[in-house]
Amino acid sequence: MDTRTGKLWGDQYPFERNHLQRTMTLIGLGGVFAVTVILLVHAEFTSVLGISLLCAGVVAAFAAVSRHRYVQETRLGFVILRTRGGRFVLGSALAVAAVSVLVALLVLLE
Amino acid sequence: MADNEVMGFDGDAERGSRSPRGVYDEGREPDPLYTLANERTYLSWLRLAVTLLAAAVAIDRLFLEQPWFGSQILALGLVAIAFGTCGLGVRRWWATERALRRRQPLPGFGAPLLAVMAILLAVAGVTVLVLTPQG
Repeated sequence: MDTRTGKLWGDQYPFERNHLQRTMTLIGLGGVFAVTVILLVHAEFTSVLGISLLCAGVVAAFAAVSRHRYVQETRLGFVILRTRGGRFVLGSALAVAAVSVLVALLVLLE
Repeated sequence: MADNEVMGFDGDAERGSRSPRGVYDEGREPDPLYTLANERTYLSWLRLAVTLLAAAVAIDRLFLEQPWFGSQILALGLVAIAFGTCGLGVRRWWATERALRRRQPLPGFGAPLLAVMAILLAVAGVTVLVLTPQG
């Protein structure tokens, strides 16, 4: 299989869009989580916002590292795709469920 | 390489090392582009769920000064729909991935689901209008 970049996708690897969408979705979910926690525990806005921004930075850094790994693996012939499973799908669904419970608590308790 | 595959992908999955087993113990490894596309569709469902949660928080804050039964119902309803949206996304990702691996036709979205959504939205709208305090 030919996996050289530039042939089929220009400078874009097939998983680029997945990475971007994963990162943006997780940052969005993190934002809703942060706002809900701030409102729920009446936390100091600036401190929680600062921590949230730090966490968003960590997520972006993980995305960058993950992208680098995918590039390496793609050059070896999509090895990573043979081992990638559904953990992200199930884990992110659990995270949404947890944030949903927090939002429901916010609506009921406040 | 099969007719409907964009890239050749030889070799089978490392069985037993991937979860969920219900998906990855089935069939053969599909074209990587298809599984990536399947995940992007799931991510779209997830973004819809996140947006609905944000809307629920916004509605809760909007009626903070004058709490109203209808606003709580609406906010909780949005949370419930977000929960369902996420579950639906996982279910469809699961079914599609299995179908891809088994080289079977992909599951359809189905008009009934859209009809149910339309009815639920209409009922929610009527409920909000009826429960809105007049004057």
